[in-house]
Amino acid sequence: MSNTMNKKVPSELGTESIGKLLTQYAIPAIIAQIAASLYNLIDRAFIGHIPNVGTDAISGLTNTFPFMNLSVAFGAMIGVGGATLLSVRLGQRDYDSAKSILGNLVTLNVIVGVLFAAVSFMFIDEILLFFGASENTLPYARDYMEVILLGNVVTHLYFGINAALRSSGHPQQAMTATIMTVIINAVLTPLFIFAFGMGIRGAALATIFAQGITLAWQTKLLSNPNELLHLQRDIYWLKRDIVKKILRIGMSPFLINTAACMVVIIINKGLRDNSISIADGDISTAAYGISNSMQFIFVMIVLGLTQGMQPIVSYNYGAKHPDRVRKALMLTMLWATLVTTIGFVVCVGFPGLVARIFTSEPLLIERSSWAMRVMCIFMPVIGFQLVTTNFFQSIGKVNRSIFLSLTRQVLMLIPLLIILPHFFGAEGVWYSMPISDIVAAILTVVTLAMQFKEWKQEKNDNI
Amino acid sequence: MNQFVITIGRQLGSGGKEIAEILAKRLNIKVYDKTLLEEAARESGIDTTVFESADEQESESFFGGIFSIHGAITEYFKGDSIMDKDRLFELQSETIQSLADRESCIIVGRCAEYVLREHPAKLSIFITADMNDRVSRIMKSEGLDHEKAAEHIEKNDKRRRSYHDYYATNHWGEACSYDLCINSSRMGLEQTTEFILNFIRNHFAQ
Repeated sequence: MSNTMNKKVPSELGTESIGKLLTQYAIPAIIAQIAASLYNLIDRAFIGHIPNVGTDAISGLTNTFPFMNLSVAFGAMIGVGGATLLSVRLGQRDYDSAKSILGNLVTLNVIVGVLFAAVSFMFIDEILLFFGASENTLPYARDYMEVILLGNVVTHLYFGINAALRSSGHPQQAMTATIMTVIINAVLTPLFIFAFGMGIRGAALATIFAQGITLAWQTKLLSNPNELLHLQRDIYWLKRDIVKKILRIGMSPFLINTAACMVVIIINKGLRDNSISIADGDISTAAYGISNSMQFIFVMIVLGLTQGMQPIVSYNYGAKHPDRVRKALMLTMLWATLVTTIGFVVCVGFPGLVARIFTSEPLLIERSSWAMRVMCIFMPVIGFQLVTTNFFQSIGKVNRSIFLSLTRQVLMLIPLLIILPHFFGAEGVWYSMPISDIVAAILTVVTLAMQFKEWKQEKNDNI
Repeated sequence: MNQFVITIGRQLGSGGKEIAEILAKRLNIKVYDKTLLEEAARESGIDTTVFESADEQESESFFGGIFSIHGAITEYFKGDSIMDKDRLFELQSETIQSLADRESCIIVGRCAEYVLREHPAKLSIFITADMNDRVSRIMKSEGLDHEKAAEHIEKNDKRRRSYHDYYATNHWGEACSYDLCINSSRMGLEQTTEFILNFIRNHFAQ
């Protein structure tokens, strides 16, 4: 832990070549992002291949996405709120306060985790139907969700402690934990589903086991008494001041995840309520689950890239090296566009191949192929859009960043998702996604151009 | 007297800044208020304007919160941005500490009494004043009418409290957070400064 104490600004950020810096900072982030998206993909691929029930099962799983988002929202509220506060206190070497925050984070995770699971359990059918499940997919969604809810506390603790590890100077261990859950999950999922014949419940159980085993390892790491900050007695009693601060900081990640939850609810409902039959709606929902997983991987790789860009851009912006800022932005955009263009070629060129990873049912393959082509038609511009959004964040222009990010995922998407199905039926749901992508991309170009113009103006004014 | 450091917290319009300046002159040491940011900029290689943008600002701007944790939302890497207000505060705190280690000085605001809570030779002072005095001081210095000045003061109190209480574990303006809290309206700036000067001399003479 001692090496976090002197967190001086690494001066290499101002001198080393941009290409080398980007590689050095982005690669670990990209690995973590790929690991996390593989987690979802593996679960869905195995579930899709459960004999005879594949389509309904994967559709039921897709119906649980908003439920999972909501659980993540509550977990992030405590985890991110606590970890941010923890890192502020550690920055001041205030270990007494940091210890209490760690303890309070654990206690709050347990309380919120139990409450969320208990309330959800009582109304599980009502919630799933409201989130877009159909009578055919409900049993699968319920089977999956019941196991996930039973392990909800484990999930919240795993995320919360990982966030605490990361902000207390152990980013490598936090990343190892992430990769560990992916590997354990990948091994256990097929074992539970096929060897033990547990069906979709097996996938959920594997998830909880993977997080539980990793949680045990994290707990061991954080119990080392040689560390200044470790789990010990007397830190778990809730303190009013700390709880208030955690909840306040955690409110933003909570709201973001709730917004994500809402969007998925609207998509699921739109697909269910505008289809010609229940079975047809179920196929569409399953196709959404499949297409979404694939697009997600490429988006996550780009997010990893932007996380690598962030320290480089923000330092050089702060140190007034505009040339290096521009260079880092351009280089990241180039790489990001390359990634999303590859995604475009894969999803639009070979959607059938992609769909076969998840299912062997011809109807679902056909629907997924069509859906992927529509969803990903403007995919090359997403890379540029995501990079610019993050760029504004890195230079402290937070409002522009939020505006651009919300445009793509909420402001444009939700109205389109509500309006377009009136004209195109369920197909309208699919059209909404690329349309909001392209509109967001155009807005991004305009905003970025405005920013460059502002800078030019400032430069001229200074002369 | 050996090397020491005085931290001064203050309400807007309480005369805290003036008191800090007179104290510095009488003790023949430097006072750091906004100039602290220039020091921090020099030490970190980051432009002063960047520090100014985060200086004593409300900590929980709702939207600011959303994006400072953007990286963390997705659970993976927390973005390591220098532009992040928490990081800037950390750099600024390091500057406060190295100044206090280097020379006797007065530091105004910026949670200095918390940042230096373990400093062996530190006195922390908080200066308040009656509302009427604060308002008339701000009316004069900012050229505002009575109503605007009162509004300005109210907002500023809220902002400083939120900034302070986000970064520190003690509370802004509460007696138990400081060694001495004093209302400058009782004796006027000059006498108050004299009083504080005696307090400092008596303490460090021991």
